[in-house]
Amino acid sequence: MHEHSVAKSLVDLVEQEAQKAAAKRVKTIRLAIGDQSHIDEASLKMHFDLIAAGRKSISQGAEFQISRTPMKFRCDACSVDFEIVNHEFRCPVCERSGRMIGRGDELRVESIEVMD
Amino acid sequence: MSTRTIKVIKDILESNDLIAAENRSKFENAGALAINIIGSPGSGKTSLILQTIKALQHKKKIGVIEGDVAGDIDTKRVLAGGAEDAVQINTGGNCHLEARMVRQAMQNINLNALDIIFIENVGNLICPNHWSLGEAIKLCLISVAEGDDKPIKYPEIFAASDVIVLTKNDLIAHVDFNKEFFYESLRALNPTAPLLEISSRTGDGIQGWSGWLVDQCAQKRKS
Repeated sequence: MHEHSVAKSLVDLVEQEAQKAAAKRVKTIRLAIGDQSHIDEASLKMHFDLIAAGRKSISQGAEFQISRTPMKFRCDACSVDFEIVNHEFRCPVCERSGRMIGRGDELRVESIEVMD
Repeated sequence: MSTRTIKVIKDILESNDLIAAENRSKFENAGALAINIIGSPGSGKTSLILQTIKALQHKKKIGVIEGDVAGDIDTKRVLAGGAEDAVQINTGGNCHLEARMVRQAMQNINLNALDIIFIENVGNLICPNHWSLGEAIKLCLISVAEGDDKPIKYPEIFAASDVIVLTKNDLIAHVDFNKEFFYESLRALNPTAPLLEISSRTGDGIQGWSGWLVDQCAQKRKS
């Protein structure tokens, strides 16, 4: 559901950046999406395509390249960094509770590849 | 046709954040402490607001922006409960409030007359977290009836909140809520946010919560 709002902002942002660079068409959009941003990639793409097509946007038909970032934790006792294991935030070595060091909440456009 | 890469490095929701920054300035200039309340449907968001209004009667003027998919039941409730002012946003299906909706609602509320403004988000622990509204404090409300596993299931909202309120504490004997388990996962995600335990039904803990809120108003004024 919320992918529609995100997709709308994404079309706006990409269009704006492409126009600023006087590009004719957007070929690729490179995105950083955190696991905790609760974004379904297929849903985001579907909404993006619908909105871009509806507007006949220069970003119409652009492909996504997505890098995902996880939520990260550190165990200070073991000096181990780890991701969520079995839905818990416990160190895989000593099973003590870790401390969050990375939220994994990114929703960012890194770059766009455009055609002239 | 030649291709080239343009560096962007911008948050997708940047346009929302810009409006949120405008809202924040307006709240601050008016001296109104804005609190974005995020919690599940039925967790007790409106009840918390009603109890706070009651506890701070004659001390703080409280306004409310109510966000719901449909209906204005909550706006009527908080006005009947003594809110200085209240305005309803109906999202018409959208699962969260956005800064532009709050900006519009702010036109219908006299911020200068308020000390505190609650923005009750749509009941949801997921996406409301991503849309800043310009609030000074992001509050996550969780009730014991929802279960002790919520920080594990919805880690991001617990990690991102400035304060966490655990409510329906009077039901603890009737539900399987392991406080130790809850605290452990919560503290891994957010070691510093204050956690206040309350019951809106019995009034237990409301004094501590409203005292904390008054302190926040005073700190805001100083800064």
